[in-house]
Amino acid sequence: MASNATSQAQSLASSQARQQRRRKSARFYIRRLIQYIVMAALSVVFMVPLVWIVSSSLKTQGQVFAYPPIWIPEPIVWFNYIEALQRAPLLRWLWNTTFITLLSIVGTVISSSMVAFGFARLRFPGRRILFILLLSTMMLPQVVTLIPRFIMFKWWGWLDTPWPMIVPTFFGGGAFNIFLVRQFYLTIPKDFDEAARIDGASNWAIWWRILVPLSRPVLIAIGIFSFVFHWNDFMNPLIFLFSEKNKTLALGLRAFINPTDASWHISMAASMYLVIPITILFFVGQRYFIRGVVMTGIAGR
Amino acid sequence: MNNETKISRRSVLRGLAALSALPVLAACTAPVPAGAPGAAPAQEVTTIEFITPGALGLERTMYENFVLKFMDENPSIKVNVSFEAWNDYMTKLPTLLAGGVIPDMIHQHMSIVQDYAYRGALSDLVPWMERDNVKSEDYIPALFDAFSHVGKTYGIPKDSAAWGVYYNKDMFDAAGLSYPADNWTLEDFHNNALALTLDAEGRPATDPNFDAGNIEQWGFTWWNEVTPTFTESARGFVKAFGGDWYDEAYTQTLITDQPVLDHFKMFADMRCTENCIPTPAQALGQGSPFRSGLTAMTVDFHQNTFFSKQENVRFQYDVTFIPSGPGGQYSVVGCSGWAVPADAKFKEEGWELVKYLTSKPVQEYIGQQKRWGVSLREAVGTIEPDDGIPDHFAMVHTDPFKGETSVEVISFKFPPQQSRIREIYAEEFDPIFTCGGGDIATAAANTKEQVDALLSELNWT
Amino acid sequence: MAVRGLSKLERREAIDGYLFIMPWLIGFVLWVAGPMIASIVLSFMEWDLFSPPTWVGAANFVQLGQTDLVWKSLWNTAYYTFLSVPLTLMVALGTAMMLNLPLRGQSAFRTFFYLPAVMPAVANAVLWFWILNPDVGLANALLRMLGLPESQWLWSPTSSKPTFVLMSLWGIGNTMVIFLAGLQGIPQSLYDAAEIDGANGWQRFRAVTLPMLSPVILFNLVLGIIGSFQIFTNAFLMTNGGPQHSTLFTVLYLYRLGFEQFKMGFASALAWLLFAIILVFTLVQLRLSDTWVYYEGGEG
Repeated sequence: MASNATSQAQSLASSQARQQRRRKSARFYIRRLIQYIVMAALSVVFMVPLVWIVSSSLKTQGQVFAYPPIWIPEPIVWFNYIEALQRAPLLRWLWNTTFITLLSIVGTVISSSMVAFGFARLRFPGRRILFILLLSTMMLPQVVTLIPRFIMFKWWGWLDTPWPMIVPTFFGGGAFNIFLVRQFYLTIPKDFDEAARIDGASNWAIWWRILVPLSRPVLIAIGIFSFVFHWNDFMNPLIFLFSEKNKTLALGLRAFINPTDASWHISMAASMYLVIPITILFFVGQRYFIRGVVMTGIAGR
Repeated sequence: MNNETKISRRSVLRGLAALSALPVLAACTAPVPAGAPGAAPAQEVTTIEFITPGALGLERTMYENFVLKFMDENPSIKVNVSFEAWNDYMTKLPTLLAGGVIPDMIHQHMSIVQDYAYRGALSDLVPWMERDNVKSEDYIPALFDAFSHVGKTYGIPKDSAAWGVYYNKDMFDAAGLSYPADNWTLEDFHNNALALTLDAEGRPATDPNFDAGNIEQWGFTWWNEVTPTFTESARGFVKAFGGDWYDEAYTQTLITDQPVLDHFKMFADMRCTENCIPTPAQALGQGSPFRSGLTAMTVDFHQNTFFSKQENVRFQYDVTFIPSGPGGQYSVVGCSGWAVPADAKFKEEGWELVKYLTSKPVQEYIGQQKRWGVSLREAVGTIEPDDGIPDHFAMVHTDPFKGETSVEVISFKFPPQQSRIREIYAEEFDPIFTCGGGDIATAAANTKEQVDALLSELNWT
Repeated sequence: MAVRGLSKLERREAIDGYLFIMPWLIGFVLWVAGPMIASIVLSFMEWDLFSPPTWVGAANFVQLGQTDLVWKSLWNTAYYTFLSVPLTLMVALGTAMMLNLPLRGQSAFRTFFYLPAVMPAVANAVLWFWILNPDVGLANALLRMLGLPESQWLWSPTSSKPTFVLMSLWGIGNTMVIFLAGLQGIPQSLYDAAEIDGANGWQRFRAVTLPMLSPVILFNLVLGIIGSFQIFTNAFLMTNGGPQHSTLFTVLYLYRLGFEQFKMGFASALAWLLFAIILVFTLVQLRLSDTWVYYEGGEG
């Protein structure tokens, strides 16, 4: 540990010195400027789709596909958002979606990190094969298991309830998430595990007290992915839900797009109800992707 | 790790098990919602499941209200109605039927009803019709053709769409053309399209200096299908040429007959060599090219009037019949219908709902919205616009149903395996209609070979 | 590795191992295995969804070999996958690295780059139709402005798949977020040490970033291939497999076979063929990964 402290101090000192030199260099500022320009340009490219959708959501009928394209609608019709609400039980659907999504996030984050620990850190017979089995569950197109899953959940009595969406998330949360967390666990050196083991900690303690806190970025990522998946998921709600009052937002909003009905502006407004919560959540969540969170304890090996 | 923070395997196990068990417990002990399939019906009330595609907004509200009124008039029947987007409906319906959760009343479009009937999914409604005195003559008879086969009827039409050719009067005026006569010919149609296709300099397509790279206005577009093959809206043209898609008994296609080849050729030329029909690329993703003022003519049904008014189109327009030809002149009608699945639990009640939704008060109400068509002959007049615009609306969209017309009213029965047939046509004809080259006669021959093989396999009697 | 031959310590570890993965195992048995087995069984049967399925043995698999569209769809899918995956990985990594810089406004930038990936598919479809319209769309307008030749985008059989690849680049949000999380896990001290040793930016990238990120790169690569092989939604909403079946991807085709042509048995057979192909690719990648992936925490 002593040598670690020394080298930690050394690298800290050298990086501080370097930073001081940096601040003075004009080259540094130019590089920063270029970076900003590139980022801004790319942002524009990436945001064009969203900007168009937002702008269309505020247009009147027939303006959406006007040519030349109208970017700033005139008049700006905020009422579209109200009309979207009037046409459908959006708030009810929003509640259903929130319920499913929040529960699913809890289930996914906890169970996927737990299962990932087993695959990443513990040896047991058949681990390789089970891991391949885990991955293979992602390789079969969902289309051919739609009807079997429907029949299965009918047998469980869970049709027209949110349970088919929620309960499986507590049981691993999906191969994608397990695999992802496992990869992250594998990047964390075993030094801490070893140290804790020497002190007598059980595997559970090692997982919960050491690995989980250290893997905050990936768990936040999983939380975000889980949120987005369940928020936007319409396929599962489509086959498992019937009553209008039980439906979710993503499913309900699909009925807004009707190729023969020209109310695209309402469709876009309705879509924004799906997008805005995700935007807020992501904006808030990614703040925790801060450099240095993971560093405590790992730097200076 | 010191002892205070030591976590035993057992305590964690307990915690996690509890956590996982909660949702499972909740799910298993939650009362099955009364409306869910599999729930036992309450005392004297029969609960039936009704599923249909329905756009958000007026359409849904309208049907929800109908269902409420139906329940008022039939206190012993409770209806759970569920709406889906069209694409989703086509995934959900087979899932429900295959999974054994059979709704009691469903929506069926004319293009798929025979597919479902062929596989035994739908009840034959004829016995009920006879018992309850529901006659096809009360409706638009041509529509029943689409839903019937060999003496059985698998659905009652719920709406209707009579196809016509809408044209932009301002563009005709600008080009110095007279408006189409009621019995205008395919040649008139073709010539109009050519004369009404203008490049940026205002030159028509017939002009030797016509700049095909800079077209500002096209002569004609289709409604939704971009190729004039196998659908009901194109059938009006094919019959005018003197051909048809299938023979009477649906044992073979007739697309290698000369009139049909002529039909294909005219439209392929119009798009590819004469540039008066935009390519699929140019037509899609833009709302309606006709209502945006990009094309002079289009084939559409009465909804075009409705949307033109909604979108405040700024030009004068009118509608006329599909052009006449050596084969005659036709008014083609399409529709959707209501059906009762063969394995539904409460067929009787489902049938009651079908009758209700095709009864006069309901049909008249639907027609008065001006947006959707009606299938009940008595109610047909309700779709006519109050302001009398366009002039020939009634001639094209309602008179044929009242029997007051010179054109022949036909529909089209889509044989089963529509998806596969569509695939075959796409394979053979896409290159031609997207101007990628190809020979029409060969494409028709190849298509005919495969579709005929399919038909004989089907043995659709 | 038989349990009996293990030491007491190893046995404890094995038991713990099973306990940790128990949630997934239980879930697999309860909810995943059943439908998967059902679809394998279905692939040996003929099922039109409305009458009971009938056994046909290997006939579906034989038929797979004889159906042109099956091979066309696999070709389309492979073409798309092997173009899209490398491109999206590189773009995602590049943007993640930029989003990792200590710039002001990173929160906003990150959100901008991420959002296109979470647009509802239907809104996306409408939007792209409009952007890619050869006459009035932004895409060709841009090309015109740059003096480049215009494209028919989705409407020509030659440009339709590349257009799909292009559209996939807007959906890199998830991949990018994963790379970002991975980049966060690389200790600054490693970069400092490399800089002290005189490494420039590119060398630091090759010596520090890539190896430390390699488990995450592997993840994105494997998942990218698994996911791209199953591309469906945009083709379903926008092109329906056209023009001339150039965007008929395998999952779209098997949806059509099962739900529109009522050949669920044949569709299941095709699904398992796709499964086998994906599995082979994945196993190969995992095998090869031993040569280039560096696990700081050891393989375990």
